[in-house]
Amino acid sequence: MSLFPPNMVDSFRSIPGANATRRGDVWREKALVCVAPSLLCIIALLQIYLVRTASLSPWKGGGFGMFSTVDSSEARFLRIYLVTEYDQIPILVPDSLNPLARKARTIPTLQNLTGLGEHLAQGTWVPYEFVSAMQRYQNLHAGDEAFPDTSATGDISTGMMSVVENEPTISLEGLDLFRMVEPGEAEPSPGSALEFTSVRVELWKYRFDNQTLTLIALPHSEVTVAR
Amino acid sequence: MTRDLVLVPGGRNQWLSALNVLLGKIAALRGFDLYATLTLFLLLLYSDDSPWIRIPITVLCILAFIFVPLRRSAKFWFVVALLVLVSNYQNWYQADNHKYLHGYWCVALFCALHTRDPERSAGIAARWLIGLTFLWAVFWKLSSDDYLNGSFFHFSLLIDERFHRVAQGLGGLTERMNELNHAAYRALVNYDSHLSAVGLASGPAIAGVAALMTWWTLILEALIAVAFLWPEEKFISKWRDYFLLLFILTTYLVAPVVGFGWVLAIMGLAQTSNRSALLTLLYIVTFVSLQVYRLPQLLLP
Repeated sequence: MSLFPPNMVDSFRSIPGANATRRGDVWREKALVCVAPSLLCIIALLQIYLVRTASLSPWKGGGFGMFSTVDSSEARFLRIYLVTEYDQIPILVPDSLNPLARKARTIPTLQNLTGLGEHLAQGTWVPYEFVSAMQRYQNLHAGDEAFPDTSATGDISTGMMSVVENEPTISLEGLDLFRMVEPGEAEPSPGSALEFTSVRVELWKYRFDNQTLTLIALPHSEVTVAR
Repeated sequence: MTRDLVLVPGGRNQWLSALNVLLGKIAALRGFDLYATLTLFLLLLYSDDSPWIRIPITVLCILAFIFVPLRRSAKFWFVVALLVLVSNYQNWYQADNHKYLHGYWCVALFCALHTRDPERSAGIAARWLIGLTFLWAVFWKLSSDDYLNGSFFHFSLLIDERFHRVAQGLGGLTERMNELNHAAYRALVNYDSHLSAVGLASGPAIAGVAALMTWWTLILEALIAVAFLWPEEKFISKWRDYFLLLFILTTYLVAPVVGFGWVLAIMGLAQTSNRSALLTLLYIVTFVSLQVYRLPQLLLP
């Protein structure tokens, strides 16, 4: 298979030393055509290596393994616990750490799982409290001078404030439902933060058995990070 | 104009001549400029979401739409390729495979513009890129633990929303089964779950549909890989465009990953250059069809 038509280089024939130039040009152009396909192959080989050695999901990493296995990054899930003296409490990954969690699921190396665990262990964990939208508005309004004083004008929002003034905050403390205090958020009141000794991060994978129609969760790896 | 569209005795000839005129116009459109323009559409609509990449790519693509010499400039494609590759590098562990392919295709366009026949060089690179993409896809399907036994598509039909209409229409999956499967799935993967297994409900024909999808996909992908990597215009290579068009039209009807379908159609178009106006027309129709496929998703509840 010839890459280029013969007439492309005819003009070189009468020039002394043109044969060498022509060969050089043809090889240069062949090499240029090969750059993108070679890049594809290099990345695909690297992806195979990472799948075999670092449990990278075959769906990711540029190896074209999509739609070949159930083992996508969604098939890997985290079970994370705050370990206290008496108990272990399951927690949700906070939004701010979702990119780290996604990375730990897609390529669950010890380093990635430990990195996620360290961020979680450094956080302050407090019980969830549900506050109604009206209550939240009222709290912000009361504490910020930027809001105009509308009490004299009978503004509708002021009217609503009087309705929710005594609405209690709903605490979910008894349910062991905790959240990490996000960066920039006010420090929690003394005694409300959870005392824990370590964080355990477990990565699980599921596989599907099409004979029994069962989705089976299997432990893949886990790390424990001390506080 | 109207008279051409009226079916009268001998009207078949008029249709054929109209088709000839259309093919003639398509033939005039062929070449580097056509697939460079379609690539601009691709990048404009399906490039990275990060503003640091999206904004410069959008600006560059709009400029290249307006200024024709820009999209024929190697420097332009170098900058675009660099942006796409940087974006893929930053998100390497979560970028979809077609985003990688976008990057390789931009590199191919840049390199082609450094040769004496950019159109032919881009065509050769496109043929290799398509062949290798499908070769790796087939490799993964053959080496997977749960592809050949039908598990992957069976599971996808039960859980993946993209396959929901096929599961309902052909597999007999009911809304109740779908609800149960999603509840089971959530129960297993939820952060506070301690379950180790859940049962899923399956429709009467799901296993059969899964087997059909498994083998259809594998055989078609293998045919494309072989046909595109085979020496040009020999044996199976002559059929390569039809295999690729069939793959794009059937696969993305079920799972509309438009960014992938588009880059395959553009590269398919690039490697047909100077071969057939009909193939060029088919690739363009396919390119448009992928957007049309999305309509039911957008219009139906």
